[in-house]
Parts: sequence; structure tokens; C-alpha cells
Amino acid sequence: MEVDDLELVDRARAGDAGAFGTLVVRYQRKVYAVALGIVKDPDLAWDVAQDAFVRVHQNLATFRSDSSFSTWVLRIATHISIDAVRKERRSLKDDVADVAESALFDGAEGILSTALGTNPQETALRRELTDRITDALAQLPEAHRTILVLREVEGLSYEELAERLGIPKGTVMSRLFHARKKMQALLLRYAGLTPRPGRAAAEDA
Amino acid sequence: MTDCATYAPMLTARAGELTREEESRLHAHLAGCGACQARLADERAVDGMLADALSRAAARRDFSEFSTQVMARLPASAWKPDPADRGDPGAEPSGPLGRLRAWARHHKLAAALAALAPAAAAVALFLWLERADPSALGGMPGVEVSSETLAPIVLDTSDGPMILFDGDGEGT
Repeated sequence: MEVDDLELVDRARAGDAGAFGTLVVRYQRKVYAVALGIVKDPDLAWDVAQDAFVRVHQNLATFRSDSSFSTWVLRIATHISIDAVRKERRSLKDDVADVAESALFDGAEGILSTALGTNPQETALRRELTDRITDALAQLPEAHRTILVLREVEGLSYEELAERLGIPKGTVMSRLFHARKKMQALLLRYAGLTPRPGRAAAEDA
Repeated sequence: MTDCATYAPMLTARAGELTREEESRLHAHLAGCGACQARLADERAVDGMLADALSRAAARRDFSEFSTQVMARLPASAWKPDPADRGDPGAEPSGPLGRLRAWARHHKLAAALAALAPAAAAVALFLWLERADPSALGGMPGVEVSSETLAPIVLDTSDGPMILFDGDGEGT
């Protein structure tokens, strides 16, 4: 039977290297996935994931068992990922989202769901778009990448996002919405589906 | 437009994330807004795609060295030596018994093979005898004696040949 995370944490605190190694193996891919979503570069994501586990080890004594170990590890990984992106950005031009804000209400709604069909798991287009979605994510600004990853991969609630990102719930909702719309606009472009011009204006009138 | 700007961001809220009031206003808006119904359908169509894609990217990567690299970055002083000598192959076992156990661990295969050697020799000999021409093995009826360089004595019993080894090769 698999040993409980908290039990492994206790053993690792007591100096059991094997227990800590088990925790690393258990969460390495999840931590890497979160880091990759935020920092974009696979090698940087690898380094960030390693740093995250080193920091986890350094802070084992402060971990309180009233929260889950996975939440704690991913929180640390997110912090390091955001720091890494901000460090890189000092020397590089900020990533530019080439989806205009005006595209948020551009009449494209419904195109993706129609194209993907009612059983999205099985369509070839869904597979194709899943392969491209990390490219799409990489084109979003850091704040949008981060909030999408925290929501979609870590599964944080609005409340947790507000706390983690230090923004009010209303901002969480609107930032997520903008991030999603930009992502969907990029997916539409990858799929060769373009919104019908003028429809939004007609509906909003 | 203004209504959609207010309600579209609420479309992907999970259960319990909106206040009751927000929820009822969203439902009222959704009932009369085709664009927001279409937006909701889009959100549902791509739901889970990002998490799938990132998990797949992680699954494609070789993680065999990852934990070793992490462990190498942690101070050795953080770990207690394991008394059973597990996970620390470099440690020297103490005392003669410890050394013997360590030797046994390292030589399990050799020890097993050594233990099996006499049996293997007997089987080999048995097979050799099975293929040999019985007329070449002279001797009394019922008891056939074979003399080879190691001078074993083979008793041909009703249960098959029984092999007796004779140290000085002179037979018994």
C-alpha cells in the first residue's frame, strides 16, 4: 500500500532520505508541469522543479500538516516559477500577447465548441489542439499563463487564486476570462477557424 | 455588451465560488443571451485541455535522473545513516557479523550458484549416463558400475541411476 504523504514528511523530517526521495518521485511530474506552464522553457522548468524540491526540503520543519503536501509543494513551485520568469524578463522584452483586447467580444463564441463537437474527447481536432495548446499558452503574458496554470493544473478556487496572487476575486475572474479568451483565439487560429466579422456588433447593438 | 462583460467571466465558476446573488443573476442573463451560451459551450469544449497538454509534456520527459539530482543538492547532514545499510551502499558495515551479512548481500547470486553446484554436477552426470551406451558399462546385473576420471559409482536402481562418489577412485 502507498505510504501517506504526511507520514513520508514525518520520516523525511526525522532524516529518512528514502522517504524524501519517494515524495520527490511522487510529485516531480506535477511540479514540472506547473513550472513548464509558467516559465515556458522545458529546461528552465526542470531547474525550477528541482529548486522547488530543494526549497521544500529546507522548509520541511515549517510545513503544517493541516494543509496537503501537494498544495504546499505546488505553491512553492509556483512562487519559484514566477520569480524565474520575472528574472528572465529583466533582460528580455516582455512577452507580448498578440491577441487584442477587442478580440474578447468579437463574435467568435461558439465556433470552438461547434468544431470540437459534442464528444470532444474523441475528435482529431481536439488532439491536434491539445498538442498546440502549450504553444498558445507560451504566447500569453506571464500573469495570464500563471493564472491559467493555477486554475487548470493546480485546480485552485477563486478564493485561493485571490489569496495566492494577492488580487481581489473580481480581478481573478476577469483575468481568467481574458486569459481564456486569448487562449481560445489562438486555438481558433491554429485550427484555421476565423470568427465571422460583424456578428458581435450586430448582437451587441 | 456591458452585461456580457459582467457575466462572461462568471461562466467558468465552480460550484460554490459565486455568491447566491451572482449565481441567480448569471442564470437570468444566460437564459436570454445566446452569445454567453455559446461562450459556455466553448469553455466546456476546451475544459481540461491545458492540464492534459502539460501532463503529457511532463510524461514525455525522462525523469529517471530527477530525484537523484535533487538528492545530490541536499546536505548529507540532513539524513540519518540507515542502520540496515539500505540506501547507502558506500557505508562500511561494522563487526564480523555485519561484514558477513554485507558479503552475503553482495554475493547472493554467487552463493546460490555455489550451493547448487553439486546438484548441477549430479544432473550433468545423470544426463551423460542417460546418453551413454549401457553395454559399455560392464558389471553385475542390476548394478552397473561406471568408472570415469572422477571415479563415481553409479548404481542402476529401479528408481534410475544413483550416483555415489568415491574420493580415491577405487570404488566401494
